[in-house]
Amino acid sequence: MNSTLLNSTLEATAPPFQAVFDFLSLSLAFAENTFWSVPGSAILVRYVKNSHQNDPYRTLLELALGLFALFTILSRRTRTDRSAKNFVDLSEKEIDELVADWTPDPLVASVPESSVDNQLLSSLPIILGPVGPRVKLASNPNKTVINLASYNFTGLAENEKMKETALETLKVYGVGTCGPPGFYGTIDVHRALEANISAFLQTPSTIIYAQDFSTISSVIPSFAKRGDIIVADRLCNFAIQKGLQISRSTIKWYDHGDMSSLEAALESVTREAKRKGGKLTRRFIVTEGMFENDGFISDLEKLVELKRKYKFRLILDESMSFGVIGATGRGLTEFSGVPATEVDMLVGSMARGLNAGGGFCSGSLVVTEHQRINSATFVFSAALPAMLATTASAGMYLLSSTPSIFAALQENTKVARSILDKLDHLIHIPSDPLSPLIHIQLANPPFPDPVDQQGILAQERLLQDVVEECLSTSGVMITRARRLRGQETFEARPSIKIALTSGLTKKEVEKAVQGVKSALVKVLGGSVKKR
Amino acid sequence: MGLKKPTSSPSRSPLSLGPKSTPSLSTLTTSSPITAHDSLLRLARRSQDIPPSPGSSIAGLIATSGPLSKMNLAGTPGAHTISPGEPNYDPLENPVTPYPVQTMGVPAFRHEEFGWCANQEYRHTSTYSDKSPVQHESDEPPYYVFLTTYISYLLLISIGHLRDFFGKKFYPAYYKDLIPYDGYAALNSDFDSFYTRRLKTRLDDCFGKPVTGVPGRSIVTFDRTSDDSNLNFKYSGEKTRCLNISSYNYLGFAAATGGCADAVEESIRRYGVSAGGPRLDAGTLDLHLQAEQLVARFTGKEDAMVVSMGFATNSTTLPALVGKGCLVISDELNHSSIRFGTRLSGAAVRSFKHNDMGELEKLLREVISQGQPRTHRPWKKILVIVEGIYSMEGNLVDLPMLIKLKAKYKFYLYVDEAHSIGGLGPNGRGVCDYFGIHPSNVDILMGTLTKSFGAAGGYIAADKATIDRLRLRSHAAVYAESISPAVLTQIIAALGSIMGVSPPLALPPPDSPSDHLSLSGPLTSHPVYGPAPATALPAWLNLPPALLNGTEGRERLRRLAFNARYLSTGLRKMGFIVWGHRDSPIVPMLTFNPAKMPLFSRMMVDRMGGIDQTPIVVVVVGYPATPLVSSRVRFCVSASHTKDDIDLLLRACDEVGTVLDLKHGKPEGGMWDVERVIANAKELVIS
Repeated sequence: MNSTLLNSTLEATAPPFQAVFDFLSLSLAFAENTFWSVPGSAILVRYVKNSHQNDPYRTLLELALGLFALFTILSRRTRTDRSAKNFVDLSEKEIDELVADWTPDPLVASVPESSVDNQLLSSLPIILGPVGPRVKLASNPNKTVINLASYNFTGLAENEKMKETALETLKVYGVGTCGPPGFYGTIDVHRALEANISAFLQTPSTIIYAQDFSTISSVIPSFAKRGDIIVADRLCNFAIQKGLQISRSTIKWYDHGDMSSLEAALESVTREAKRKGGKLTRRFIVTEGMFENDGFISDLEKLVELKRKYKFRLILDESMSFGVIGATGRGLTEFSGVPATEVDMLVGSMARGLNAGGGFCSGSLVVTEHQRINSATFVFSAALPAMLATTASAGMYLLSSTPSIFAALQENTKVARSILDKLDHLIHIPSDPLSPLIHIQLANPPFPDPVDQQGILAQERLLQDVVEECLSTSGVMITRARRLRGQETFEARPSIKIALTSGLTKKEVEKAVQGVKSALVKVLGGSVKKR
Repeated sequence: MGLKKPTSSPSRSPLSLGPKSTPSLSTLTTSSPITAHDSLLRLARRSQDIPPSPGSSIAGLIATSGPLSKMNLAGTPGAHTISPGEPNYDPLENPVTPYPVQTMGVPAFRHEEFGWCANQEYRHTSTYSDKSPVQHESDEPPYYVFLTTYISYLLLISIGHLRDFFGKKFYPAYYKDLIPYDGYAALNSDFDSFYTRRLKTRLDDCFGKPVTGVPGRSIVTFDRTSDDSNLNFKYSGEKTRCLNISSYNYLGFAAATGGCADAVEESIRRYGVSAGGPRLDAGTLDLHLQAEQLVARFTGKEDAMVVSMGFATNSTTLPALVGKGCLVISDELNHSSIRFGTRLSGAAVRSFKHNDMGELEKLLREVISQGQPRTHRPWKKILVIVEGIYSMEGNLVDLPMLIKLKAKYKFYLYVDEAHSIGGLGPNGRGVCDYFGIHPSNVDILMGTLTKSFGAAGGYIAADKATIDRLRLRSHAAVYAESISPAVLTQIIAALGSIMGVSPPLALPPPDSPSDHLSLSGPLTSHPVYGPAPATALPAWLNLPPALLNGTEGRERLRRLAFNARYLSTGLRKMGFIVWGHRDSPIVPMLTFNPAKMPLFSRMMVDRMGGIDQTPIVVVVVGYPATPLVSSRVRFCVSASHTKDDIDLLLRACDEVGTVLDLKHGKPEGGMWDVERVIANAKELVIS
């Protein structure tokens, strides 16, 4: 309204405005009276007066805080809402045009027929019938090949006792559990398996999960939250990487298997925390027992020493080592003679070492009970089928009652290594000499460390040739270590995996590994000469 | 290299069910120091104990019914018959309606696993009718209910804080694990665990109760008591067989007997239990491919991929589908696994109000026109993720509307059919089948094999290009265990028996109840959901005729459809506030006040009143799985339930619900009493 106009109207109509002012002052007086009649209002006023007298700025600050709180409550919480600065106001017509205009990318990138990916799918071995040391493949159903690709380290896959256990369980429990553990999915055999794993590892308590991959990727975020600190090995397996990602914690990496690098990382974290002060955060070391990516075996004694020194908790993924190393298959703790109670969260797989299914986490009662409420894949997923739980129990029994299994496995490992180690001009084996999982990488030189996807691809192609040569000429099935290139945090070097088994005699292993050797020489030898 | 032998270590006996403790009490009440040797002896005993030999703890229980339980079959010559009304009569073991052995032969299932219900009137076909809306209007309770609910929580929280305040002073041991000690931060903060410690513990006796045997029509639970407000449980060793209205056993395939179990038995003899590693290493068996082909055929998609865990099916596949620059639009009530997967994928996420297609459209218009935040670049792709049936609400997705939106806004559609596959549609093929929408309209159909099919794991079905890509890029295919052959056989047998196997589609056996109603009809009108080709099944698989020709499968579908609609409508008629769609096998019944959750659960097991005292196990769900005020009881009906079982459940709900003041609904045509509901079951289902 125009100000002159306002003035003139004010003068002209003084009496009506007078009435408005009267009304205002009356209601103000009434409000004041009401305020004073409320019990405790005098105290409030005294408090405000006092605080204002003591510190006038505080009143200002409190007022500002109050306004800010009001603003926060009233403002919407979605990220790109209309009030955001970045929002472009568009008319309905414009939106319709934009909608009509928008062409999304295809749901999945199309794969050309000739790509490596497509070759991978077509060259995938399909096993006809049971998994064991000797299998028949769909590519040639009449020929039996030696299987050094399946995880069947202790020969439990073809064990009759395992089958019997599964059959007996089927007759009582059926197959599925039809529910998560919280809703009548906790079967007595689950509890028995938990107790059995605890007894096997000598830990106070255990919790079992329905799938090995999902175990560690849920265990880590159930403890580590935003603001917590995790120090992890650079070559940790994919499941760990995903767990770290979900946790949103601060991640520090240390060089693969390098205890001095770990110590430096722990030292820097501790120093940083001291410098910053503030609340004590949860701190974890995450590493593997035997690395899925290269077969390296961790130095547990040193890990425990460091964890104690710097007061970190140790999350040890034994998915690859449980049931595989140690005199009776109890994993890295048995292998290095360190009690499993020294490890805060010991995660393992029942699918690999025990040839059953699922995963577990062992630790103190506090650790396991926490997961029963807070671990997503435990709470929101159906429980493990009963027969996989009982066969896992049977597997542990077989491993601990038959020490000869591990003697044979060790013997086979030694034989395989003695043959492969002679090829050090062609290949590099990062795996521990005692690891029954042998990774074969291309030696460095003559094959340089791949720096980009192209280099990785070229090496993977070469290794795939070895795998195929080995199968077609020597009749030995091995596999290239498959990776999710582009999705990994750090790209592991391309490698071939050999999973030894106690199910083969020393002679058979010798013959099979000689076959692998000749395939390596045939494929790689040529490439070396060309250079 | 030997193990340093600990002198003693606390451990529970493998056979006993140890005490359940909360994180705060680390003392094992029944712990005993045992040496490694002892424990292994126990291990040995354990693994020998599994066969159901007389005297074994597990077996003793099953033996009460005996194999195929001829003893309990009414009408068997020479057998002692316990009929309703006799003192030892148990409806869980003997059908209320007697079984005519002379004409029907011995049934393939135990009555405890899969109920005997021959009356063909108690069948229904699950199909969409546009007469009733997809989304049902639900009744609101009176205001006092909300008020008392809020007051309850206020009280619970205040008392919790009071207890914490004094507890910290007088029982510091209890808080030992919640405060930093010796330079370590607490694993779980005092604040974060408040809800668990002070609210959830009060109803812990309703969760995680150990069971044994088959989670079929009835389930055997271990009795337990607690002297310390659910911190520790004591197991007396006694067990109770209860009516199971809680397991996701929609089609009743959870069974230790019958054609599927026999197929699995044969499979274990042939294959063992292990597939020996991840799919892309060497963990692909012929069975995997067969199961995948069958799943593809079942869902009406070109190709499919199976994963060894339902949760992981979402969480390991979504990152392979979307990534940076993509947008995921997710229903606010989507399952945790979907959230887990989207978080891993790195895609941006927006959510819309549950099942609100209007809001979804608004959101779509906004995100497409605005593009990516800050840069305003167009999104690479938009993936809308919804569930077929929402597991806590029983709501169906409004698929017809979604398909319309999809045509206009060009997003990709991902439907999680964890609960709807097998449970919905005239052919049991999920929401597409139910709404009569061709499955090619949905880009990705995901589902679980754990629930309707009594197996384990999940699947993704889509066109071949997508599945091929996922086979290479999904985390599970590269790194996770592949499905066990025994589980695969269960999947193959269950799917095959629902689809029927051709050629030739065997005729129903002459002595089976007339199945002409189910063999003709809906099946033929959906050529996309044809029978399974015999070549798709393993050659050694020997299914009985009732499974091969699809009669048994269809019976299951029709029984489930009847039971779901009957329970949902019946409870509504009796005045309970029930949410969700009437065709959904998940039936949530609202209790509102938090204290009524545990009370309802306990009273359904204890059954103080009435002549019939059959215990019933139910699932109760409250905050944080549901909004604060809408605590609920969730029933999951199954094809294995008989009409008599649903009657029993309705009577029990009436008995307990009246005491707990749960009847706040205002059904059309006035409230009916329970006997009237039971007498008019057929009409209620058709209405």
